[in-house]
Amino acid sequence: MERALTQTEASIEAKVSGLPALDIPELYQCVHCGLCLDQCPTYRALHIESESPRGRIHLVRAAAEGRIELNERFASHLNLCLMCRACESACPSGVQYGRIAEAAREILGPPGSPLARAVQRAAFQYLLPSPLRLRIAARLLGFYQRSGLGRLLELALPERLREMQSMMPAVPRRFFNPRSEVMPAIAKNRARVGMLSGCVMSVLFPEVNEATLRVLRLNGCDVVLPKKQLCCGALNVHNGETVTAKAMARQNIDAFLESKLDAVVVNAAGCGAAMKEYGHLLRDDPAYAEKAERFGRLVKDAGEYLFELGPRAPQRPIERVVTYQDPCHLAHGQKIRSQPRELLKAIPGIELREMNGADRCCGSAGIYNLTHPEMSQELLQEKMAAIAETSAEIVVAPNPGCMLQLRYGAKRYGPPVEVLHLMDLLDRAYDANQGFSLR
Amino acid sequence: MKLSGEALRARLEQELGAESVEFRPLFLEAYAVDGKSPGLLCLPAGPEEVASVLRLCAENQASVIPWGGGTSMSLGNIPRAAGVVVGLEKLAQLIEHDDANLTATAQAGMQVAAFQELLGQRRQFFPVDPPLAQLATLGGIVAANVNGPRRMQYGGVRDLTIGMKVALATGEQIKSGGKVVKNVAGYDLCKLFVGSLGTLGIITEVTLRMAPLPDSAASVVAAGPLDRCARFVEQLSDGPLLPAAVTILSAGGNAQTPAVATWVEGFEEAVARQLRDLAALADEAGLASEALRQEPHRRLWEEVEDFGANGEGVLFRIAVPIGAMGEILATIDRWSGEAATPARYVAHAGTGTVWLLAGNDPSSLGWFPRLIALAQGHKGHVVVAAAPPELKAGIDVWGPAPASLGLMREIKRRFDPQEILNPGRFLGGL
Amino acid sequence: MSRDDLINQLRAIVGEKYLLLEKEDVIVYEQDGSILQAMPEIVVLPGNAGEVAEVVKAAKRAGAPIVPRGSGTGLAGGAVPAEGGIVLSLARLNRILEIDLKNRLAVVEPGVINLDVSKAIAQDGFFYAPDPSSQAACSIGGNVANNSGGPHTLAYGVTTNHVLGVEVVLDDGRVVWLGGRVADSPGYDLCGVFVGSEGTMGIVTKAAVRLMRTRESVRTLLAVFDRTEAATKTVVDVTAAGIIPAALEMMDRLTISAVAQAVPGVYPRDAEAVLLVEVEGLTETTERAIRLVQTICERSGAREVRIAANQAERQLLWKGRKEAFGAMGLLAPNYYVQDGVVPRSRLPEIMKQVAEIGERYRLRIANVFHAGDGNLHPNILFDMRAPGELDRVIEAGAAILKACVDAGGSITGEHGIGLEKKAYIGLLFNEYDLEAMARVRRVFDPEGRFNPAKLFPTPVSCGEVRRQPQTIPAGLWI
Repeated sequence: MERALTQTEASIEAKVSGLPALDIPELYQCVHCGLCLDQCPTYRALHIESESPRGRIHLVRAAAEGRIELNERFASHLNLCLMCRACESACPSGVQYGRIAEAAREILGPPGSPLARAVQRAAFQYLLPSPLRLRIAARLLGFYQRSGLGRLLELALPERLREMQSMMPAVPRRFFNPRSEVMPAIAKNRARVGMLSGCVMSVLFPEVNEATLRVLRLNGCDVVLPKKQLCCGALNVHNGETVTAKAMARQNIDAFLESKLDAVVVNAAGCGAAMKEYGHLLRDDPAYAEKAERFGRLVKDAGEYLFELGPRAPQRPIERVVTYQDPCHLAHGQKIRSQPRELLKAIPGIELREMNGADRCCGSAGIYNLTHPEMSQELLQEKMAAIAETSAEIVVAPNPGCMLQLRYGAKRYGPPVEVLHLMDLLDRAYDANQGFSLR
Repeated sequence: MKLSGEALRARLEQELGAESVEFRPLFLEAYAVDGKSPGLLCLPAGPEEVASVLRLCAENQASVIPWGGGTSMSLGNIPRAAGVVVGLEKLAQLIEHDDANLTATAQAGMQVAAFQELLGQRRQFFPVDPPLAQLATLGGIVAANVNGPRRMQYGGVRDLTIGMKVALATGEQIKSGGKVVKNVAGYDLCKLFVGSLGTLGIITEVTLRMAPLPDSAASVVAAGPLDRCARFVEQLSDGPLLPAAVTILSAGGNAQTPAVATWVEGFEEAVARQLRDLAALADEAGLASEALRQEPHRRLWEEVEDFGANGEGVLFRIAVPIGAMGEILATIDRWSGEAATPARYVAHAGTGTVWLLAGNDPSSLGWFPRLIALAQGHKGHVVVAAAPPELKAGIDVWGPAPASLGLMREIKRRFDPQEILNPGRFLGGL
Repeated sequence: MSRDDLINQLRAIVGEKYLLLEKEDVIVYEQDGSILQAMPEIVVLPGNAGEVAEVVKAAKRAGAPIVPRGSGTGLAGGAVPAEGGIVLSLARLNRILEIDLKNRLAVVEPGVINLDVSKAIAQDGFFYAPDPSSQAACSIGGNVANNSGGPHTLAYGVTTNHVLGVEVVLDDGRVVWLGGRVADSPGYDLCGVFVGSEGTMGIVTKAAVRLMRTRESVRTLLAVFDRTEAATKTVVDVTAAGIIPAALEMMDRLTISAVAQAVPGVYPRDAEAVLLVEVEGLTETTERAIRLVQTICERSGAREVRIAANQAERQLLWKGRKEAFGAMGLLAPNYYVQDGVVPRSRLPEIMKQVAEIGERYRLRIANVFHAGDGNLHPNILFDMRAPGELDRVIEAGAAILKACVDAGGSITGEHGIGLEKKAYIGLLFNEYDLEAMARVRRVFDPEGRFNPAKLFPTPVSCGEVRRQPQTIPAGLWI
């Protein structure tokens, strides 16, 4: 039988054999109150403590103290986490769970089977850091999709892969390709901002980037799109690939800090959250620590920035019922909740109806829907049911991962809602001609 | 070794003093329970003496009947034996009225009316309105779980009792709870003794929650057919008003039709508003209403409180979910119409308790199985709260035993292994 | 029965997925919301009452201890498996089975989150009254076990006043209802005794709880004082004046100084004490009551009294109160919170004693608490790294509890005894009192396998339990 110990006694006993790399200060801020439990999507689904934020922190702490091994079971609990950070919103002690989980994943490496890991590692280290390679890969995928080869292959594919294939969105024929590195304001000039093109955004959602660009310019922003910018590296960080992530961060910092900017605007919630935290990522890099901090403060979500800037009133009415899905990395990662809603409400004709659990993860979570399809689909079904209850015609979710997931959900489970980015809708609501006439 | 009755009396006299032990049959008749006169009456002067009496009786396997004001003595099955009545009339002190804490501690034998008078000097009261408050004692209403009409606002005896001292059948004196309103230290044994009818120990002291005396109080009586009364009650409970009591009174006696009596109290302007709104509700429901204040208000509720308490018939206590009240009363009215002598009732709509009074004749018992079936249909229950002993014989007045009877039997065995306390009076013959 | 047999039986009952045996799975169940730890051997998560009963039967055959666990938010170590054995999590029994607004009751499973009950009925104008600070996470089963309170305790009572009946699994696996769906079930009030028994009598599988109608009006007031005694006297005067607020909370200078940093602009930084008073009821009642409270505050020397004019102002006033515990981090790296209670009338003197105890042990103590209930929460501030300080903290904590008992109070108002305070229960109850409780325990749990080593002052069989301080998060209105 175990003797009852206090936490501190256990810590002291274990320190000797522990894992100092995991022993980060954030671990000790958790007071085990449990207020995170019911906010955690995986805990809500399973009700097992080790699939909750408090449980995962406990596990990491136990591992740091050498009380448990970093084995497959440990890894499976850490990897089932969506990294949605809903727990951070719920935490009264301000524990930065994301940092704890990232520290653990850094040691564990990417999740999945050895083959899956190899594929992911290749993607993280080879594709994401290179816009060119990413575009070539996407071109190939687009060609594959249009060729009808996929439908043929489907017959031969195992169910899991078939599922994955069906989740893949259609790759558009053109990618986001701004005409120049600096796009001038098309209204009275109010600011000069950088804009992240992003990896997924520019390849799969070129129209969202174009809309964002137009909305910023119509609101009087000169928009700088440095050619040297890369993918933000968020996926790498979340999946324990920090070496590559750091290199990407350094290049982005250099690319954007070259010009004098009022802000770096990001229209993907996940990227924005990661870039705001470059300071933490590069804290041990003497050459970049300060720059990264400075850069992080410049980063703004597109909705956040527009709201702060004070947007022009949209003129063109959109008579639709809309519901808003909080991307996790916006609501929880960046504490941005009201600004996108206010922007939506400012569009004439729109009726904004809140869904139940709007700030609960849709199950997309980066590549989570590929690594953990079962949990991901469970959460998606719950989400689609909540959307259906609102009878909304449009779901706004300002993040590419959420958009992909929700579009898949609309197709697979219904209701057949249109899934849009906030910038899409704003773009539609601005009278473009009026804007151009101001030039 | 077990003492004879004589010897036990001598020991008790030695313990309490001769003047505190009564053995003359003429005097003891007043303490008969269901027609059984006790062999002795003891009047201990304090909690230690109560414990001594219990210890002596336990040693000698003499049965004990605790006796407060005697107002609930008709509750329960006929005792298997009535050896020694332990009267608590000498434990009648107010120990502390901590008005700033809204609590008071008193000895169990203190009469409710006397207690209220002392509390009233500091503008507070104990918000339970038992029948026959002049006689009823604090320990008695706690042990018998006696509640009144204002329970819906203030809670019941079980909610208002926060601490007590008890002399156990095994002679120990224990305390449970305390003097603070919020307390989760240890098991809440107060709950065990509330309503246990003196079968686990004798309560010697209680600490109770008080309420401030309201600035103003009044009633609205709305009279008319039962279905309209029921609709009125439904509308009232769906609305924002916060009455202290809502009671449906059957026709019969002086009343030609049923009526709903609603008691409102508090700040004058809140009372005035509620009287207005209640009159409007009554209008809507098609009832004729009248507001009562002062003496008529007081008399009305005294009558409600004392309903059936004077041994004038067979009294049933029916507990049902509040939403089922209208339906239950309609059924009762139908049955009553078919009966030789109609039954009357007062029904507390806010808490789901119906007091039904039938005649003193044997046919009244015919109500019992029908009421049980009716109440059980709504997951409620029925107790015969008072009846002449000849009618009680052969039935369990508490109704069908619950599934937890086995646990209750074990509790009884642990607290009163010799079954000396009120033997047989509680449910299942406990 | 061997451990392997037990495991095989449990697996057959709950299935592979919900039987946890590996260290990486069970270690997270070694702790609850407290700071005490003890490792379970087995964790099971049954999915319905039938499975709970089967698990209990299997445990009985194996002679294994069972520690029931809801959400694990308790602050006294009640869900820590002090003697190892089986942790039985009720988290999966989380369905609201029935909402019966007509009869003002709901029947819920024990794993249902407290707040979810109120959420489910809010649009109909009802609420479930007990609202512990952890209500967004704590379970109804846990509330029943601990007889949980909350800020609205003052007006509406604690869990026991709102539970009509519970379905429980007894030690031999039998399932019985205690109490029912209506008041005054004939026989002993076993439901009343069960509520607050901290998992030592059996396992709740269903609870029938009362629902209340939302009040039409709520008014909130902040009073600022330059002297602590004036504030505590005001608390006494408010109740003595016959006003029973829905909530009456107090904060002292040290707490205010922290809150003023965390939530600027709500409370004046230089105040010695503030009171937050809320009244609920009919509009006419709350209007008059809030003015009366204002008058009492002013008469007691409040230098400022502010009545919230609207919902936003009200929320801002509460924000300061709710974040008070989190803000403690601004004062010291660690703190240890106590849960003593005194009669409201003794508040002024107990506050003086708490201050004296602080001086005697050379410790700073910040107070933020449910003044209306007399339920103190002295936060003893310290730095765990300072040698010897921790011992003084524990001694000071004990001294405060003793002072509460001496003032006619209790050692716990809402956190429970659990493992944490079992050594102190003797301050309140003598051996006869405790033996009476033990008699009831033996009726329900003759073998002492339900949550062993809790509540009663017996030592843990395998070693001594020491308590350690820890910070408590904001938002917990403990």
